[in-house]
Amino acid sequence: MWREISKFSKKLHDKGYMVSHSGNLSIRCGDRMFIKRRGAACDEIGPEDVIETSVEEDTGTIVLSSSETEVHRAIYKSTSALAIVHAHPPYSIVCSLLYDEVIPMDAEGDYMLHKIPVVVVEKLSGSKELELKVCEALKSYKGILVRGHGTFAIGKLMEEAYHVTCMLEASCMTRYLVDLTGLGSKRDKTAEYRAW
Amino acid sequence: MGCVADVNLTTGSFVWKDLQEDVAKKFVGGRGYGAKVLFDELEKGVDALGERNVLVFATGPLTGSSAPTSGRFSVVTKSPLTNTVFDSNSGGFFGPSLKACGLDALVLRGRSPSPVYLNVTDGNLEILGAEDLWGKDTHETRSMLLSRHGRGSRVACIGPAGENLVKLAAIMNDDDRAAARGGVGAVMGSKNLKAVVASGRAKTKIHDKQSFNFVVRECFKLLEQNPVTDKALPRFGTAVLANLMNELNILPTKNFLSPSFARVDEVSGESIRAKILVRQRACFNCSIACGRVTKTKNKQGEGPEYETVYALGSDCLVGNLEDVAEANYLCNELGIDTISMGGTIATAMELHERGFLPERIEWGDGKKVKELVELTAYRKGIGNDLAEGSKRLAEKYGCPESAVQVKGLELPGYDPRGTKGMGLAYATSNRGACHLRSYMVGVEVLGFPKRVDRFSCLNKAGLCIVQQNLNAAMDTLVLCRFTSYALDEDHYARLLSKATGVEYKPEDFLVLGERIWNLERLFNMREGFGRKDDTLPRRFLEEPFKEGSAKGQVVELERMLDEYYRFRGWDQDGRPTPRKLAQLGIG
Repeated sequence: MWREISKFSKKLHDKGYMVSHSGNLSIRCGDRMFIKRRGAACDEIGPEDVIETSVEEDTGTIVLSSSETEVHRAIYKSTSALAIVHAHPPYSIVCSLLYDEVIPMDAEGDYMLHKIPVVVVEKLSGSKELELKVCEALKSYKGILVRGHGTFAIGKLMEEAYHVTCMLEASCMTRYLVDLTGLGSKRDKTAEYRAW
Repeated sequence: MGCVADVNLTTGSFVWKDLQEDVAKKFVGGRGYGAKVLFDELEKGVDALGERNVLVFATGPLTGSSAPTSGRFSVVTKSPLTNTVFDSNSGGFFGPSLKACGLDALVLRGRSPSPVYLNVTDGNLEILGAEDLWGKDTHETRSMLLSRHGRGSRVACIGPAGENLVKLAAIMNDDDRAAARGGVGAVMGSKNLKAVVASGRAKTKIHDKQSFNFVVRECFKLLEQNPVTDKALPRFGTAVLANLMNELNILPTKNFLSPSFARVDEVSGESIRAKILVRQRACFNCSIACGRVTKTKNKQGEGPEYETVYALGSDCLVGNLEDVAEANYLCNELGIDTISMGGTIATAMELHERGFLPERIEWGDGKKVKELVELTAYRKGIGNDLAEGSKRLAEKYGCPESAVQVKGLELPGYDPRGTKGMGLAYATSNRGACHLRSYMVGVEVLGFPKRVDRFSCLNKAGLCIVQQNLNAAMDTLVLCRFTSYALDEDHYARLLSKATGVEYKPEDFLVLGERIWNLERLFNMREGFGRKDDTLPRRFLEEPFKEGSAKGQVVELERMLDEYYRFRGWDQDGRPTPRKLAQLGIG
């Protein structure tokens, strides 16, 4: 299990989507979940850097596991996700600060994501409010942004959650760069997908 | 500058005096102020339970303020258990009440000819007879004093253990909060001082309120976003560590003879929450609320914390949670340190098993543990030997290696074979084996600030030193150690600067701690301590576990110690060099 988490953590780190020690990934196996250890370097995850804990209830392992453990647990309890990636990709964060939602302009983004909601919370890390709002958004979308914080993406496999994270970032980059030109896009699905 | 009440209990007289400005700047308050008084005033070889020992109750510049966990106070004295300089601090609400009397410190000297207690109010102090209180437990004492002086008063007192000069005796306040370690309660008992009642109402003076409040808000924000201070400790108490430490072969079991405890699930933080928890309890201005009010079939009380789960539980092989909790309640009522009590009982169990001690004290006998706590408090039967602590007990019965102690102080709940930096921390601690001088478990296991290899001896000295310095400085404020999961020297220095108007940079704050550490070292050297005492029990140096994740590990202490002395600017025998002392402005 740790190898899977380690592999994708390093990929995300190398792409600049997880910076140094920040960000976290988890995998659900039945009633148990495996999550990155708090403060572990994203490109050096070893067996001792993945913490096993319960999906159902809080346990003493919270002293070691990611500070977002409760958000991951809440997502597993309220969605069909079996893997979660929480990352801090730069264009995603920029777009979360500029827009109330992001409608992808790129073909893959609009085909796969349709719309990327932006969740706004007062307390950005490990709060009940974050838990509630992220869970609510992930019931309808596979990937979301949290304003000023980063992305949450879910999937049946870690590879899927990783893929969604990459798509979120690609769509945000495209949207941001097109808007930066001030020229307007010849292909914009905003009207179509705003209602998604 | 603040104010000190200097009380001579022999003559029944006292004076109020100003806290000297240079002392306040260099040593701030709490542990720092106490260490300075002891170093300046105690002659070499003073009997810790004699008239010439001094007992200091000290608050800090943040005590009673809006700073997080600002409810603590320090007790500083020469310890009868270790014969070292010793500070022990406690939470609850007594500290702010003492501070609100206008006092930064209470210096107690001499010995009253008969039992007395002090009643401290705004700018006033009375020495009153305590004959009717003598013999009462800590809860009864508090209750009687509150009915006499008002429910708003706060009480710090000793129980029968302190009166009977038990070297494991604690000073208890607000019923179940303890300045527990080192036998500070016995020093209070030796002075015939049963209690201190504080009923102040003055507000803590803050130099720059606006800036101070901003820093306080930032501190609370960080504490609320930290998973340990916001979730783990509030939900499960400190015993949240039990399962984890057991898995890593760090939870001491059977007097540190076994790598793990098979019944850990029965006494873990999760079990406490599920089985006996009534409610959480927080000290003054604390958002963490790690305290546990609990209830067994027979009784209600407070605890057990992680250290107690280890000392009265796994270390004695007691897996019945109700027995552990009730032994804890008894310690609170009789005024005894649970860590040293458990460590001493575990030593007695080992002595009995190995045939050195005829008294039948069997591993895992929870009822016997409770009985021994009572016997110790009243120095009855074998309790008279236990009252001397594990070192003297094991020496008396001819098997000194059975005592798991450093400088006479029983080890806390972390086996250093599984967390080697803790081995260095225990060996070099100025007050004997202690987890609060340097908590290397934080960096070696919990990953604060980042995780390092727990089995490596490399580069541990530097980390240990910086923690010792930081914690010594924190103890001048006097804040709870748990804040350091979320805060660092930058926050503490800002709080101190805004509160006092004296500018401390983060590096100044660490130097403050280093100054205190070196002064304490000088005190201990004057008492004859040196490199020979900076050591560990043989089992950690030569006897590895044969199974478990810490299999084959021992602490390579000498190597770490050489590095430690060098990094401290001390010579090879552990003596601070003149250059270092000049740098720190002491000596």
